[in-house]
Amino acid sequence: MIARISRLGLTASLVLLLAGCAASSAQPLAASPAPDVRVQQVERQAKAIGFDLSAATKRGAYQNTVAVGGGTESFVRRTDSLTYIAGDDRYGFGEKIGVFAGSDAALLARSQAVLVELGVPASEISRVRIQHEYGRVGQFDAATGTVKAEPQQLLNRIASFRRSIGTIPVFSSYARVGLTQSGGVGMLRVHWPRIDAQTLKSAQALQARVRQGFKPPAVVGARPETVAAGIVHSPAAGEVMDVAAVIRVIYRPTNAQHGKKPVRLYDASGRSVPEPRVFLKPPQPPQGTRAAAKSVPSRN
Amino acid sequence: MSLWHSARRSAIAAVACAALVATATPALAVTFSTGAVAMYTNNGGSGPDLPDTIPEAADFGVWLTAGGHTLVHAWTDGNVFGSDFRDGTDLDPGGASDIAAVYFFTGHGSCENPPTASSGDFIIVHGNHGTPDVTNIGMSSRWGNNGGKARFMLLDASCPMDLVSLPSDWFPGFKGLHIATGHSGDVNHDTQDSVSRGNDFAQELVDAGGSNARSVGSAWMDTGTEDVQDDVCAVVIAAGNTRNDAIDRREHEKLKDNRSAPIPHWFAWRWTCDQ
Repeated sequence: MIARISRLGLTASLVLLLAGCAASSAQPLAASPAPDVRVQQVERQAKAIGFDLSAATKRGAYQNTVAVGGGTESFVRRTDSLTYIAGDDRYGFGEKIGVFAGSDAALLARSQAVLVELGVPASEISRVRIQHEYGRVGQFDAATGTVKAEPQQLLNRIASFRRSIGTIPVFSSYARVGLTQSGGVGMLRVHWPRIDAQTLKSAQALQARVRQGFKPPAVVGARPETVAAGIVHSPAAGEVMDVAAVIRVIYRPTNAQHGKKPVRLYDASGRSVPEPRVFLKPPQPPQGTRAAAKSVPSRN
Repeated sequence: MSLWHSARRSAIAAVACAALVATATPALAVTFSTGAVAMYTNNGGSGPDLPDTIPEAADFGVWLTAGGHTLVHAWTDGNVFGSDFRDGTDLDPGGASDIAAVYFFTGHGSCENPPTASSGDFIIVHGNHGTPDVTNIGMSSRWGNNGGKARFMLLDASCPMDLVSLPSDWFPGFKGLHIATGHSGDVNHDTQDSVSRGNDFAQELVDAGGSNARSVGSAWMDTGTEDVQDDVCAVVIAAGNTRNDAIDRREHEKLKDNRSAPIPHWFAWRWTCDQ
């Protein structure tokens, strides 16, 4: 299967894209303050959590996102989900606005306050961790294949949160918050979509089904490792927000040489549940068979 | 052959419009290819299949295209060959891994229990040609040499970048390659088949949806631990002419930077683990 873009194809695609943009109801990000109330709301939210948008030069809304940003920073909110993605190039170890140097407890408390400010119910935060980020550097001698490495260095700490509603885990939800030296927000990924009561009820029923002894369907080359009922939803970046109650089974490959664990989603009867979508019309892999080059040996 | 399915065009258009209105200056386009293997059980394969890999790679491609980058190949299943990742055959213009600036692979890797400095890192395909299907990265993979164009080797496999074995398994492969990303773990702490991880990673790599592109290293630190088991680490490696060059690339290099190939005298690496 192959998708190779010719120059003509690419040109045609760009023309279509530009035409589509012009015909859409998108509100271009403009240099002047936008009247869109959603933009103003996003700016207020960024200010409330200490994300610096003082140098923002662009702001606007398009489809399911509202964005404010500029040369080094951007703050994006989805309008169909409680989802925020923000980052600032000036944030990080040794960077202009640095990283938080306070205690782990202070980092977690401040980060949790950020989440609550953005509308995350504190009662739904089920797992709180500090994720450490390390760095290392070394001089490599290609002739000998050896490296003189310096000691590893702690570069950053990120507050990481998982979600449960009551006893129901929401497998796809998460929040990650990185703070600047001054305690502002330097990096933010919050993906916490609304879950309706019916979905919760369905998930509770599936939990009961698991307790009663749900038998996962067989997967060739793997055996079930964990079986749990909960909720899944679409990723943070995308056009749609599907939400579904499922029984999620993580399988372990029986061939110990093959890593990466299959994950399957099922309903109460063991029928497969589709993965939540990302785009309205999922991209379809082009059909085709690749010809092997002469330099590539045959399989037989 | 029809190059784009209409649905793909629609999805790309939706995202790309946002990219176009949000980008102050046109990004420097790079070329990219994807290789996604879902089917490991046909033709006598032991499996298991990984059905999320193909949509993951397709979504990855949507975002990069939206960011202005140019797709070269999007191979799936048996059309991804083991030889694509081995020096000597990785320049096959039909779709090997060293002919585009960015290569994103999603499929099986191999984890050890535990990994050691000499246990190797692997890419595993189930190809129609180019046996063996298993490539030992440290022994066989070299990117950026002999006219190879790979700058960013992005692997969403399983333990293809064990921290304990980077000097032997990864550093020799940088022959012009700028940055590589992957995971470190073991058989009990492994990545899960996921659509989200590659999708969200790609979104951070480009100016799209109103957000600015993050550096490759930061984007992987932000998203590489999605859908992984506890204690799996997202890892990024950057080569540099000097110590500071390697660190700068690890922290700041973006797809669109158009930086020159480093002479890999120094390496800087960075990792975070889902604890």
